[in-house]
Amino acid sequence: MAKTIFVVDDSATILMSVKNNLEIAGYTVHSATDGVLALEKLKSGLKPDLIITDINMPNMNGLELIQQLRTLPNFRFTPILILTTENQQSSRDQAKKLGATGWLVKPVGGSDLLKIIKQVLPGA
Amino acid sequence: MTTENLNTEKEPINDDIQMANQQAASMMVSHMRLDEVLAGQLNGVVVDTEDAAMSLIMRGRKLSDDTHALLKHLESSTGKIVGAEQSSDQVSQDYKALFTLVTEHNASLAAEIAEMLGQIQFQDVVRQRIERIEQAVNKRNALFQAFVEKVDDLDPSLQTLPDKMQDVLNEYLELENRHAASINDESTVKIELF
Repeated sequence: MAKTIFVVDDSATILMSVKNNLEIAGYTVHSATDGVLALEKLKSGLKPDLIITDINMPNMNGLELIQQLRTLPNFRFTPILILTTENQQSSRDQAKKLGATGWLVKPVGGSDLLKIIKQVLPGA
Repeated sequence: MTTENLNTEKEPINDDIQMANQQAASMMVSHMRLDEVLAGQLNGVVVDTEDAAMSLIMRGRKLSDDTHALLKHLESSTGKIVGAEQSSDQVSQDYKALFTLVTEHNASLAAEIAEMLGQIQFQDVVRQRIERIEQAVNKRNALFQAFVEKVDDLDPSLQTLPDKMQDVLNEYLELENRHAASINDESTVKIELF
């Protein structure tokens, strides 16, 4: 069965880019454009195998989203990758502390993204 | 009014004019520094944009050339297979070889498309850089507006404007430093698993 990946980004270009890349590779992809919408969808029963989120988004940023998700039993151990333009070590440390699985700086090539996904999703 | 009175009045006016001139000069220096930095950043955005566009064009052209070459090869191979008097084993082998070729081409096509989709993310990187420049310019404009409004009154708060201008520049640079300097920035650790 195809693994499910949930992508959160306020940029239509990023969503299109990542979604198409993952779908071509055989994944089922769901998406949201900010942290609040993502949390709503995830609380309503969607249980992805992996979450990829941006940091700078309206309403709720990616770090707050991770913080909220880690309090929910369903998402305590779900791998969460951050895909962002940010590059500061302190932000990476904060993300790690909040429970993120990895940090990717945009733009990430399609094959690199798929390689990382295979690493965090064994058997994918 | 006597000449003596006039001279007494003139001194504070001269002081005020001198203060206003100093403030204006200080503002201009801060303004030029900010403009220099923003111009450099915009130039970086332009170079990156050109690189990304060129890379996408080259990849697109390669895909088109590869597909064209494959189609030519298929056309010629199919003609040979159909035209020649061959055993069914030979025909089967020829078709297998063609099938392998097409499969390899499809895999390479999928990989190239994945890379191109990744490069499209560049648009978002540039959008955010331009937004940060826009924010700095807006703050700078607000300071200038305040300067223009208060300059006639020789408001003492004008003296803080150069510092405020410097704050805009510092804030912008700090924000910019949080992001990767360029899509080609080799010093950036682009992928890190915790």
